[in-house]
Amino acid sequence: MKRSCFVIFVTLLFVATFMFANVRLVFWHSMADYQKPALDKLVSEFNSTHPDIHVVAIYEGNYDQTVTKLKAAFLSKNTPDIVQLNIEHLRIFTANRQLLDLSRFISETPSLKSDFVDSFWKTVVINGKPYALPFNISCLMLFYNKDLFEKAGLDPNKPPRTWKEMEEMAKKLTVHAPNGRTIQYGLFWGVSGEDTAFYQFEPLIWQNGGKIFNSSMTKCLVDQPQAVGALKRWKSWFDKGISPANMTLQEGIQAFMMGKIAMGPMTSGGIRYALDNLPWDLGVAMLPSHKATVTTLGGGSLAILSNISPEKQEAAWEFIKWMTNTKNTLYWYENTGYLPVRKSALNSLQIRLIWKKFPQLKPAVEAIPYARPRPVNVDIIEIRHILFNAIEEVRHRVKTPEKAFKDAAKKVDKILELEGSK
Amino acid sequence: MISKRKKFRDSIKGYMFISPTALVITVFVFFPLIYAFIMSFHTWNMSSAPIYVGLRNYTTALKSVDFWNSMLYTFYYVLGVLPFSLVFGLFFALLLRDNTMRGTGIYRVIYFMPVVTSPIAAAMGFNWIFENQMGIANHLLEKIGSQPVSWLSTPTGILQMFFNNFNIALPKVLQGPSLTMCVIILLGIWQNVGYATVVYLAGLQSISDTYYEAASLDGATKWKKFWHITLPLLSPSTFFLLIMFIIASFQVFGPIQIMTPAGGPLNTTSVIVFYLYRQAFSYYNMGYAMAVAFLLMGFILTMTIFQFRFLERKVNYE
Repeated sequence: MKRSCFVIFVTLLFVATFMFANVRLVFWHSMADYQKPALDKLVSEFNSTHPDIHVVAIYEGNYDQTVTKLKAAFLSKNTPDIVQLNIEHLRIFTANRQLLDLSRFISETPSLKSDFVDSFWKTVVINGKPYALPFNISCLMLFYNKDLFEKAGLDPNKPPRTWKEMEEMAKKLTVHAPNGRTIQYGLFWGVSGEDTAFYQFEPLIWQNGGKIFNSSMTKCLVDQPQAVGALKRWKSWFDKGISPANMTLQEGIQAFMMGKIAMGPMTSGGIRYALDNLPWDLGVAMLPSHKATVTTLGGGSLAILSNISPEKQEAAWEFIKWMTNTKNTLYWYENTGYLPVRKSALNSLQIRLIWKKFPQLKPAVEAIPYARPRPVNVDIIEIRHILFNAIEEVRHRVKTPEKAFKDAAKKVDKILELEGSK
Repeated sequence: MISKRKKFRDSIKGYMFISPTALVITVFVFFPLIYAFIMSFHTWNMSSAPIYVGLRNYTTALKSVDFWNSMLYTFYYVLGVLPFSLVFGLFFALLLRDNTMRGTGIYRVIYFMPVVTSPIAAAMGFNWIFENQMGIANHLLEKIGSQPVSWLSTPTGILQMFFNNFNIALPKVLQGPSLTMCVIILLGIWQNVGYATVVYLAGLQSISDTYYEAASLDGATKWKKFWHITLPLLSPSTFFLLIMFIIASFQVFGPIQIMTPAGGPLNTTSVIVFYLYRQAFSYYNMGYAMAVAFLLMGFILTMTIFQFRFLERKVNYE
């Protein structure tokens, strides 16, 4: 009797949830592996605290794949309601008015806008209108192996601050076997070639005082001496033997995890994963600077699609606002390493508790003032692949740095020109 | 008059029988095909409205260096996979033909296993074998005292590697597939051999023993029997495999996407379908990608017609 009562009760509860959850929202995201549990936890907490809204979170592959799927979804008129988009991909959809302009909601709560970190906020504003809320923002940090630093007689609490220091340390951290083979490399500045291609190379150009595009995005400037200089410097790390010239990015990360590479640039979004999974002591530091101190600002944002009903829009707004509130952005930061997006979170007492637990999370926050968003436009994915191929040609010694970037700039200019005529 | 009506009624029946299949094929093959053909004359990014550009996509493709490079890499793949798959398939079929041998069934299963393995799983397995740091291939090389090889990140063609010893630089077309491409070719061969083996086994079993008996009476050696009886009578199987493998090899994509998602070192594993996929689903140049697809289709069609015209004559049908 007792049991059947219980079953009836649960069924009723179940039915009730569905009856009251009158707004059902589909949320597409790109958070795999270690970030997914944290995201799922946030979503389920939202659902339990908001009985009238039910959010269904679905993983859709990496950022680039999400773009493809969303484009296809628009064609088949089977779109989600909320989508996590890389801040660099927002333009692909705002160009055709497929994302909801959030101005109306923002003006309802004026304090909200000013609480977002200014440089993050700028990344979601296109032609003066906000189209998303910054959610998982990261910057590129220098990851290093403290154990290897100690073994090489270096102070593990003094990471390199300039390119020169980095080169000197990398030399000390490079270890050769008696037969002359290198068994440990000091540095691997790997650059990704698929999702978020060219990401790790951009700060090198900026640090060398260069630019990738002119300010109106009509001309590619990688053929200028500053960018070419950065490429030459990058190449010299392979030539000097302090970097492995023959590894793919995946193999390089693998080698870094195995303690065969001492330093390398990685996204702050992976700090917690690294802390939980690396058998050795991880150090995280600001990227070493050269002529300028700068790092890349990347990551994702939460956007609402423009083709949903006003009722759903309200609910979706409630959701993305909730996901980025002070408490949740701190939870997200602690469990992934993605930066807190709210000023109130950065100034909170809780963040100090997080730093006490995971001191490696702190440098990423300190890097915020130096983080620069990546240049974007509609054809950015193709352009980045061209730039990535150029530096690969240099690494494989097929072209000189001058020629590689000159050819690439020409190709990119052609795409930009076609874009202007569209 | 009556016979005509009967004929009509009969054909109605026939049409009704084929209609389910015809419907499915129309919806999933012919309609997309026609739609793609129309789109290949437009520029379209999947979001904005398509713009008619005439033959521009086709001329851009034919003038593009990347397109022809992809064609070249596809040829390397086909030329690498095809002969080895056929030769090894025949070799294993000859070994496994004897039904009286113990455990033939088990061996047949073992050789057929790679065929039913998902190409994705196989590609991931190969990635582990040839990984730079932890791969078995490099581990074995180190065990025998030689240098580890960066299998998945060497863009140099293997013929060029050989000629490097004599300081000769070959023209691009003759440099051969890159080492990374060779690993992918190896995977292709590994997956094809089982299929070829099974087809050849069936072919071998249909050859009547009387030919061999007659040859024995004439005093033919084993080699002569193979060369003058087995091989010619297997030619229908060979012809079938040739066509199937050429079509499948031109369309290789899965292993490439898994093993070298960025297109391999210096794009040397970017075969034509990979190139097409990138243009369509990474760069959203849909119209251009469809033009490339039709160029590829035209190419495969020409090749197949050529094979039927010129090679089929040499096939011995019993």
